[in-house]
Amino acid sequence: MTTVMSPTAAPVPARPASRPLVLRIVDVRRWPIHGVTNWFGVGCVVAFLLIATVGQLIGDPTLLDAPGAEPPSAEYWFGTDTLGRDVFARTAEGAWNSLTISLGTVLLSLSVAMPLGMLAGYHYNGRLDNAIMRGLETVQALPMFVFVMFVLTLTGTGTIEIGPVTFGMRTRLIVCLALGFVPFFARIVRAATLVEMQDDYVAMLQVLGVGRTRILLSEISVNVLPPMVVQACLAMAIAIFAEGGLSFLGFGLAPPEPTLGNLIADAGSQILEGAWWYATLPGAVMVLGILGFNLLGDALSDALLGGSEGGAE
Amino acid sequence: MLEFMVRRTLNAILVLWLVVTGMFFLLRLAPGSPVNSLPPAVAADPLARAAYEAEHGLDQNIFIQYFDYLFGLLRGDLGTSLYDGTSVMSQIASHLPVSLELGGLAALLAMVPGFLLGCWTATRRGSWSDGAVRVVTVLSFSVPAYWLAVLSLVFIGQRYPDMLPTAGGFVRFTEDPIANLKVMLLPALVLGLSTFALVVRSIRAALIDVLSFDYVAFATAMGMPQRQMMKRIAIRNAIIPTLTVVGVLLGGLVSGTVLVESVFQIPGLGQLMVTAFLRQDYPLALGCSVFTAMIFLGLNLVVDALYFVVDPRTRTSTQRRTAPVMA
Repeated sequence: MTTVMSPTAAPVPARPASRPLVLRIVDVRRWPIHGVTNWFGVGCVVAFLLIATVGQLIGDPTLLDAPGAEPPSAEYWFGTDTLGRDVFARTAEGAWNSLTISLGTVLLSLSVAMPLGMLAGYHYNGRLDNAIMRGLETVQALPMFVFVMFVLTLTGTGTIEIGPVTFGMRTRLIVCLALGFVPFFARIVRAATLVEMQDDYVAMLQVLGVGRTRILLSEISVNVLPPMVVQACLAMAIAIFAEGGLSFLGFGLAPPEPTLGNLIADAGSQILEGAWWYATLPGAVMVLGILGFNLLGDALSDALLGGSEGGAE
Repeated sequence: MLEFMVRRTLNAILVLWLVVTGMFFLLRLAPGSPVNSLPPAVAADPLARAAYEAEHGLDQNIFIQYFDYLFGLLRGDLGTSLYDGTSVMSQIASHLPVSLELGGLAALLAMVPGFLLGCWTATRRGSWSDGAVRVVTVLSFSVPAYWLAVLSLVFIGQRYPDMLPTAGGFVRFTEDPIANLKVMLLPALVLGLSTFALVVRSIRAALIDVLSFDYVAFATAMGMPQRQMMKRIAIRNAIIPTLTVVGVLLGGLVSGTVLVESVFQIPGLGQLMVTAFLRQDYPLALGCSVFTAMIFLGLNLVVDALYFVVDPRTRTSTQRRTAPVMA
């Protein structure tokens, strides 16, 4: 699931020179066309995005419009729950919540971890590097999920106001999850930066008297971006899983607001005689998202890093 | 080797201390700290409030409280639960074995078949069975354990209720080993599924890598039987990169026990921790977190030591060959 790049063992990844990252992603010729799984992954992600966006336009997630639990039909695609709410509409809304929180998490933690990881890698084995690594190890002493649960509880349940900014549940979830992801990204950025540091161009820039900030910002950051795009995809999958788990346990958005996690929890707490759809379908949408982002990460790794078929690990 | 392990152990202890310190102070400074979340009847009455704070030592300087906690931790005293006043240590002692059993069982059920399947599929690279295994493994680690647990409650639980530990059906191992294993089997399978998939994938990738090396071709060319070559050369080398993934797997298993225990209502450390967090029972939550961190760091140390067992080359140097990326 991760691309392991240890400073000593990994070969320097071959860099297709001088083509902007976006072009490399868009360039279909570089996509392994024969990889059915890659296209399947793209399909899953597109389907998940469609459910989360367009799906919201269909039905009302809070309206009690059926008399009780009904199996899937032409009117209610995913059936209804015990209160008679449309499960499809709730799933779509839940998928949207899940998507926005996960995306926010990944973007926020990337923006914190990139500078941290690059600084640590630039000062490899230096005092700054040691301090940063020790900090990351402390965060990682608890498994990520448990750590996020801990931080989330710390912040209490009410809204927090810092100056003019109000942190609602959603922002708080994003911040806490992002904190848990920082070590994950920072270590990868650091490893990628180490690979770059061994390259001649860095030494040359240093000899020319180019400052640290400029080398990091305009040279190294661009070169560590491809592996980060791949990791960001895999992190999206983990974030969807983690957000679901938190709201499943009751740490996420509060229940009238649907999330994929609390829909699953709800289905588990009121096991209905034969109401298979409530337990199955919202969870299946979540699997669609996780599976899609996992496969997309693999596909991007093939396209951007030239990883071999067996080298995804 | 000894020097390396001593250094790793000292580092783990340092990290553990940082964790305890960080968690303790964060808890006290947080908006949801025990001082701010007193029971309503207590918070309204200044006298009751003072008595409550004195009883829990909250009226003292925060640093004194911190050193009290730290020395208590060294003596094995983690304070008492705010919810029912029981000793945190005894709560943990009664819940921890259940979690260890669940995690151990899941690891066993995941790693042994995962290892065998990974080796098998690596030798059949590119065949339809390899493709099928790939699809199955990607699917298995994309399925969240808590969803699978709910599904098994709905679909298996209605037909075979004795397979599930819910609704008071949980039996301790010491009371009735067979009944205990029967109710633990399903949760352990659910928990172990994603671990299984990751083991298969990493063993397969590592073995394919090793099989392309010259020394394997040489051994084969010299007439070494394939079975013996796999056993003596290929698999031994493939285990080394797989060990680096184990850190990730351990994290997954520990987080997984939290979720799976709460679905199946297994009275383990994970369920205890979730309840403590939801009730905002700080001493208990802190104690559970410290223990989780201790177990997690300890297991990672064991993995570090395993490098020396598996790879004789590392015994002479203090460097570990590969660095883990994520945990």
